[in-house]
Amino acid sequence: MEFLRPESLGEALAARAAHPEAVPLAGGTDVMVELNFARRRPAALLDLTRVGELTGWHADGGTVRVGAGVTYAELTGERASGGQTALGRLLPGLAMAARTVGSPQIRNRGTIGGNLGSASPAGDCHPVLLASGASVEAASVRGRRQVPIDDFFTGVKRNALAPDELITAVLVPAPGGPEQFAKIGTRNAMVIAVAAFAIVLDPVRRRVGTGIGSAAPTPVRAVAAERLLAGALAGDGLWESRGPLPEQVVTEFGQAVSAAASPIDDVRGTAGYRKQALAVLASRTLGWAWRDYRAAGQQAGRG
Amino acid sequence: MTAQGGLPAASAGIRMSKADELRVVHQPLARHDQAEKIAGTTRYAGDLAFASMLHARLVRSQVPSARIVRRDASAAQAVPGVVCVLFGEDVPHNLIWVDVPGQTVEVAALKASMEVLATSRVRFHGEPVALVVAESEEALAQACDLVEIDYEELPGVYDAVQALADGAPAVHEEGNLLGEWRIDRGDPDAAFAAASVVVAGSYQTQAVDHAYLEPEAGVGWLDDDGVLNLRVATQVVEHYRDVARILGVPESRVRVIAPYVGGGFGGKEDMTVEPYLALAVWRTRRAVRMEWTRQESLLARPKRHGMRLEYRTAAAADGTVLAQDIDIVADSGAYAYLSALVLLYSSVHACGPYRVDNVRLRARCAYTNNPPTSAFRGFGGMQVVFGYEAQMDALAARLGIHPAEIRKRNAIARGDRLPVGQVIETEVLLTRTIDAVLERGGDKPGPSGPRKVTGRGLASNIQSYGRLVWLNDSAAAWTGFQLDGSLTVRCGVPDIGGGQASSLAQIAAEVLGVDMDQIAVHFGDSSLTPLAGTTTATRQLLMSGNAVYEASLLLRDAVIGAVATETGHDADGLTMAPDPVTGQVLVTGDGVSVPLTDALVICRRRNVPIEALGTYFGPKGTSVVRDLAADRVFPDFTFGTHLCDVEVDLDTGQVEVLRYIAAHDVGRAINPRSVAGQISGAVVQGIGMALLEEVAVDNGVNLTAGFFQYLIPTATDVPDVETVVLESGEGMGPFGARGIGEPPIGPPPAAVASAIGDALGVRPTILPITPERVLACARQGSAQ
Ligand SMILES: Cc1cc2nc3c(=O)[nH]c(=O)nc-3n(C[C@H](O)[C@H](O)[C@H](O)COP(=O)(O)OP(=O)(O)OC[C@H]3O[C@@H](n4cnc5c(N)ncnc54)[C@H](O)[C@@H]3O)c2cc1C
Repeated sequence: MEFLRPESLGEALAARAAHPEAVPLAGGTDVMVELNFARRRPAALLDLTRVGELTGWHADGGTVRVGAGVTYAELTGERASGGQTALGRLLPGLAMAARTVGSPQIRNRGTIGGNLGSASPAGDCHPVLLASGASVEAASVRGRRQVPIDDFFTGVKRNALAPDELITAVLVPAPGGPEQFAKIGTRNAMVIAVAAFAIVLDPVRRRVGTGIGSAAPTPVRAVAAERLLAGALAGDGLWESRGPLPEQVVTEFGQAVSAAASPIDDVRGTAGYRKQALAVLASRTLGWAWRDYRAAGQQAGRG
Repeated sequence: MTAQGGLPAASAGIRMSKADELRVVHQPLARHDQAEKIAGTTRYAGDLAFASMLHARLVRSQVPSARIVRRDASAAQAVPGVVCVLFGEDVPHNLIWVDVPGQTVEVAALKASMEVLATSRVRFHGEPVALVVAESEEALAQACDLVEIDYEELPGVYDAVQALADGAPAVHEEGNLLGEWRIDRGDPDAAFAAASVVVAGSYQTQAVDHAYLEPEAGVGWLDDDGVLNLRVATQVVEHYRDVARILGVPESRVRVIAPYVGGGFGGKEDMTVEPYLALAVWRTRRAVRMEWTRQESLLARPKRHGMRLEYRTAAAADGTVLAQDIDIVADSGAYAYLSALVLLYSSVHACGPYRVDNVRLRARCAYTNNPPTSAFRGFGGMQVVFGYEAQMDALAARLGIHPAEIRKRNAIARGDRLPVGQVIETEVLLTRTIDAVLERGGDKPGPSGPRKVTGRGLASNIQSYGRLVWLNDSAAAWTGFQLDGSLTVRCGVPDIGGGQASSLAQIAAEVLGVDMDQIAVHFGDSSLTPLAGTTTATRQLLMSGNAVYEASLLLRDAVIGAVATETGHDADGLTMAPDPVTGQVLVTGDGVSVPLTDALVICRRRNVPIEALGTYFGPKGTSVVRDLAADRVFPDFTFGTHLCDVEVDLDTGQVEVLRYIAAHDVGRAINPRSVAGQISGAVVQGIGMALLEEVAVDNGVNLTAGFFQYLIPTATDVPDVETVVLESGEGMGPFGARGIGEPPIGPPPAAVASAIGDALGVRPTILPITPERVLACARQGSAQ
């Protein structure tokens, strides 16, 4: 097996173009599992860990650019470093998702780029990225492009990357309102989610974003649920009043999210349970997000 | 000299000593093997390397039930670095006899066997078919993929109840019923007719895996004198006999060494790597290493028996249990292993720690094409707790009696007879364990938020320690002084992480007055340490503990005797103990004070050996065939009660164990830390079985051959286990100790189910209690 070790993005892209059979390797928490179980015997590995351009993040106007090589540990970071606001504070939804990933060891190695590279329906970054309307920055020797997250997941563990492309970063709109993420697993840690859900409320653009994990062949948005909730919030003047959410809205939102899923039965849970769990996750995360929104309004009012 | 059936013969003086008279025993000492284990430097079975060592791996069946129509190793053999590929025909005696292993001479109900390497028929997914030996792991991996085996699939049967039905595909020619036990006591029909209440319940327990840290592994080599050495992860060094039989060599030519084992729980009671390592070494005459991957371990090593338990229980209006009618069917998987004995344990323990005079029980185990099942902590005595404790809770609810009260009213006490006929001879603190957990538990906690409910559950149990009495069990140990007064202990016990070696050192230190750091324990070597039998059946403290105790007493009496003769004093007036000020070991009394080192010189001058061999024979009894009626089945039993608080999420069905308290009468805690460790570990393993773990099999195909599919609890899934240790001082082990290795695994599934039942009003009856099953209970509960 050949082991390619580019030192820069230019070298990496050149290697990617020259060796389309080489499998990119970031934290290796997915790749090494596949190699170990001989599910995959690639002719070459393309190690990205020395490519400085893929690391780090910065906030730029309304967008946070997160390098593909940023780890879960960095995503959960609460403390500022190097003059930068901590990533966990910039993107609280992603931080919540990152906190639920694997174990400390996995969070130290695993990257957001690897999560997208694997494009598993159970990837924990995906629901938040879908809900916040992020886009994936891909690069090749041919140039750079941005793929809207809605177009990124093309099938079970398949994504929109061309064979010569690498993920360089994820561009996430800076949140203008509350974000929540929750997942249900068969145990509390080190487990693939039975169902996961993210919600992003954007009071400025009056937008509701959602993302569902582990309950369809790809991560998906619950578009009808977004519309339903956005309509209810606007119709009742709730964005302005920050009044309590009618119980019925919460329940219907949960049902609409559940309806957007097309889960299967497997060892971890039946399709029926996944649907039920999604409805619960959706209602609960909406409740929490709305509670945060109301609390923020009170603080603003006081301040 | 030997001891038998209870008290060691030499002297019973120290045996019953009060806790406050003990110097070393009963102290919560840090185990001497702990620092290395924490640092990761302990050299486990797989951690030994020889120059130019070979590697071996099994090729296993991909299908659960098939005829083997073709085997071809030519492509595998052509891989550079491959030394040999072996099939069943290459094995001198291609049969593993799964008899009762260890230091027993009787085989009783078992005459079970299986091929070392399957030649014509495979019966489960993962059955070994070929053995590949190569110079490197890489060559091995490549070659294993190239061994060609063609199967003609045969119909299989994947459920024990279905396996017993007419017309089920036969797993073995002799039919699918592997074993059956019955108990018939009193007049159950009359008792049911006269009862105030009858409750019936059907319960299901699942197959689970031992999931120890250290997978099956070992290194084998030939000594210069031609003795085959196997240094393996095992609970049974006596498997050297089975290996000798397979190779067709005298037993004396095979040596098994058990270094520290990274967990056994019964999974290393049957042979794992031994026969294959032995074959590879025998064929190549070189050192060979074999380590099963976690996937192999989860795929193919025998599991715990899944059981279907049907209970009907009759009681009087005051809660007195009048009769039990019990039917048990267990899934033995594809081969017998120890299934018949496991079911015997289920039968003996099926009525729980309660008096009941009228019992009808039938227990059967059936062959299926599922992964085989065999020994696992609790050994059939633990699955039934899930049944009998549910029945006790149901009775309590029907009669409006507190669950604690109904248990106390029926609690077994000294002098009571178990349904099989054995009379309990030692004091039973069952009622005190119930009081202890309730007192510690205080008030039941309230829910933490909306759509959450809390519940409290209680479960008591009885579990034997020591082997079936008709197996004629024995254990031997050797103690010897060095000339500087330090002590060497030799005992064949495998130390599987329960602190077995450390406890033996404590016992010897107590009797001989020697400091712990002056003692070295050599253990687990079938050629160089006296054979002590298996580290299973919660027997080692009883068996090798008493053997070391015996050997230490003999040694002490010999040294004191020599000093008495030398000084012209009466031996009865002399003791051997450390000087309270200097710590120097002295033989003192009657105005005499001789330092141990001087006493040893006196011994040598007077031809008195400064070493002793102690052998302990377990209590005896006559064997049973199918109908269980015997004055004695086990040496003795351990009792306990667990309390568990849970919170249930009514929308997701998720269960959080808020609090867990476990109380057991351990007789005497030789090392309180080790006792707490055994209880905590068993509770965590039991909670895993209650809520998470299951060997999921789809038409014989094991779907959980990895830790991503087979879920054991993580640190975030269990609370700290609170242990309450009671000491009756009445066990049959040294200093009145009872065994505690297995007993605490029994109550957790029942305690958790009881707590969920308390929270929801409907109790889950199928393990594991998944969120979906919880939701089903919640729905039923609110519908009522
Ligand atoms: C024990 C364990 C627990 C886990 N728990 C979770 C969990 O809770 N939630 C979860 O979502 N995941 C979990 N995972 C999966 C895994 O950790 C994540 O998917 C992680 O984000 C992968 O990142 P990585 O950097 O390790 O990727 P790698 O394994 O290095 O790569 C993953 C894939 O992405 C491709 N790739 C990597 N970087 C790039 C790039 N820059 N451009 C293009 N392609 C690229 C690789 O070729 C490969 O196909 C777990 C894994 C393990 C082993």
